Amino acid sequence: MANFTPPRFCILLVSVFSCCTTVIAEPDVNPVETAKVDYVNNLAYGTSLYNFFQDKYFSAITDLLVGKHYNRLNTEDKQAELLLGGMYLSYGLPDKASSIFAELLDQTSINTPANVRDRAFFHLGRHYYETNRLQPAESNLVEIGDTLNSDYDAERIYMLINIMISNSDPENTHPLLDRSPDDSIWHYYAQYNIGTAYLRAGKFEEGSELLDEIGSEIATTSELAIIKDKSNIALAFGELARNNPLQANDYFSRVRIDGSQTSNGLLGLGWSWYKQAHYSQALSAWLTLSHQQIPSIARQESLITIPYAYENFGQPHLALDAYDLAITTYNQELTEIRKIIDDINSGKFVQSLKDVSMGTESSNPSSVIGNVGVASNKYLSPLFLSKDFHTAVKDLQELTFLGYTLDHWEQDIPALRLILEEKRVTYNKEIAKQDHKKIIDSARIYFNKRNQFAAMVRQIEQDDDAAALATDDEKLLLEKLSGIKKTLEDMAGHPDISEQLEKFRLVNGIISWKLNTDFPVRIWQTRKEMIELNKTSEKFNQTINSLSDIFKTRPVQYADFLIKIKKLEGELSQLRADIDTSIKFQEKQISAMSLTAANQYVSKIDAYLDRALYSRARLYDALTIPQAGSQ
Amino acid sequence: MLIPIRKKSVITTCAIILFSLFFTQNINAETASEDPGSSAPQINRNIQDLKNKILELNKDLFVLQEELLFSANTQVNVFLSTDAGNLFKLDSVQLKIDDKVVSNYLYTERELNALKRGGVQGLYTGNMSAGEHEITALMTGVGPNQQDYKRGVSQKINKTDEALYIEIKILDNTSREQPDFELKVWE
Repeated sequence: MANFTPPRFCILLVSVFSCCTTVIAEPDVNPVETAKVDYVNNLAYGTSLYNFFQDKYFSAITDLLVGKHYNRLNTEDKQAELLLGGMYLSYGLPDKASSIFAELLDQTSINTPANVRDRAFFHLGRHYYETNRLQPAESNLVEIGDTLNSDYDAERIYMLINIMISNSDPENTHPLLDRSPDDSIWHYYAQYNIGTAYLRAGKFEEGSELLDEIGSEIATTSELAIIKDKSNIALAFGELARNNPLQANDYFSRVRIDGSQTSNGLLGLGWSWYKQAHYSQALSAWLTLSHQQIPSIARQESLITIPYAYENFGQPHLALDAYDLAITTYNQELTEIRKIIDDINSGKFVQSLKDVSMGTESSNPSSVIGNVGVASNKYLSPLFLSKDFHTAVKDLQELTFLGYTLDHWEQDIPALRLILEEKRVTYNKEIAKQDHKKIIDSARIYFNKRNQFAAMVRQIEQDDDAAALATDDEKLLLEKLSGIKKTLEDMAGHPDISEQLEKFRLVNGIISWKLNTDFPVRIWQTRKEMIELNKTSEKFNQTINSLSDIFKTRPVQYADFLIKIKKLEGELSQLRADIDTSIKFQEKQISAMSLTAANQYVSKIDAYLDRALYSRARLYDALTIPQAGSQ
Repeated sequence: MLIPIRKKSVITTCAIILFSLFFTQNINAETASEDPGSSAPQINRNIQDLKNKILELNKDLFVLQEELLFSANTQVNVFLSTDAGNLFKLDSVQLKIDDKVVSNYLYTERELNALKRGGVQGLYTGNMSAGEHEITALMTGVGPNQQDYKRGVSQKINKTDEALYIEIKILDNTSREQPDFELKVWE
């Protein structure tokens, strides 16, 4: 037994256990507000939301950018800016997001509503928190007022609590925890983190109170069930460390038999029974663990723990069998994982990731990773669960999708060129049919006439010239009267024209009276007609100007379009090359990460195998040498 | 006694080491260590830069496409939105302009969920001459009491030389326990 000492065994157990219990005590987060929008204040904002709610961040951001370009967004309430900032964060462009939030929070922008400011502080604070910049994270999170919805507020409190814990300050977190709504999952994560912080600080009583509260909850959701299991595992190992295996058993027994913590629970339970000298129960726990389908470090550990236990029970033959089983299992796993390493090296593994995602915009990295193959999932699950790997796969997915997008535009550009050419040809044909100089000259004549008419009306108004507004009949009558007047003047001094003169005076008086009496009505009517004429002229003028513009600008516009297409085509081609380079680099990154994880697994199994082989040989020697001696 | 006493103490030691290491692992994972100097690695910067450039290019290409294909004086846009959607689950929509089918659309669960949460779908963008036109939308889906439901909504519209924006709205009429379908022309 000298070379297989319990301390070394325990250190192995520790390393195994610590690897498989590395947890991130935080739920998945929605990077931006996803609450139901009651009122869509404009369609561009709504279409962006439509894509955003489908996790199509690229399309959603494009919608907002196009909306901004055409001034289709309502900018007064700043909601669109806030959404854009949040979406940049979701899409992994924190620098762009930060600049938008900073603008919203600029002291000079007094028009930013309180709810927008609060959410901007929240998103900025969360961004700093997630990138480990805790001081600016705290500064932003404490600025938030009371307009956040309860889930965001619970998350804000969770982050502040973790920042306090990182400053070794779990005692002062209680007032914050009390303010966290206990119907939110964030409350339980925060409570778990405070509890484990107390345990680390050696304050078991304080920590166990918080963890026991979670550990004895009725789990209504799968997420809460995981936190509950973790709390019980933490409490159980705490009690083991305090030499209270009986109490540890109670906590281990609360851990679900089919959860993510089952392996750790069974391993710990075995040790707990072992410590109480209940060896058969200890073996039972470890045997159960060894029969688990999914390989875990705890399970590998159990394979070698079992023969060790048999040896200690004085059952060397059973121990030999158990070592044989462990060696066979380790060898099988080594064969399988070496096949995975071959797949990684040949590029098959990365290709399987790409095959699953197919360049779709909104596929979730978890679902992609979950579909790469049973064997890979079996042995690389710690890597597959890690945030770094998720980020790397997400980046590859996004780059692949961007590649598809660029391909789509590369295919569309010739069509746009063709349409432009069609338009140009059609325009030239139309322009050949029309004499646009003649059209513009006719318009000029029309406007001259209109101007003359306007001048005439002004003159009539100025001179109060009622006769100028006479009807055609009146004009005829006035002409006749003018002739009569002339005749009467020629006959001046004739004795017999007094009656004619009197009649002329009377008729001339009647017509003058009628013209002067009707003048206000007629001039008002004329002014009205002038207004209508002006309106028509204005429209006509617009059409003529528009036509003139078209004659002048359309050929230039076509040339501009062509220049734009050429420019964008150049950018497209450059970015396509950049994307290809980045995709290759990202594939290498993922392969390298996978290879490292696979090799680490191989090293661990190799170590277990060596130990199992050595122990079997040692035990075999121990069993055979005395017999040889007796012979 | 199969297990020597000294081994018990060893196991206790083991549990303590295990315990302390377990929680050391936890704190590192749960609470970020303060590292103000930490910045995204170069590859991450490159990806950010690339994504941003492609976003800008994508926007420019959409703008170019819109200017080239749908000039403002002939442009018509049709959108679709729903409210709670408790009384009608949309399966498909067929859009007709002047009795000519211009769009057929089948909805996925994900799209319906996005609509229910307040998203607005851009259903159709096209060109239309100035003057009077008729727009018709035929919706099929599942109505109250899980019955197959088919409804149409039609409206005469006047196209001016401004771009036209029309929204098809599917609303729950709780007083009648029936869905309502509306066509709204945005000013």
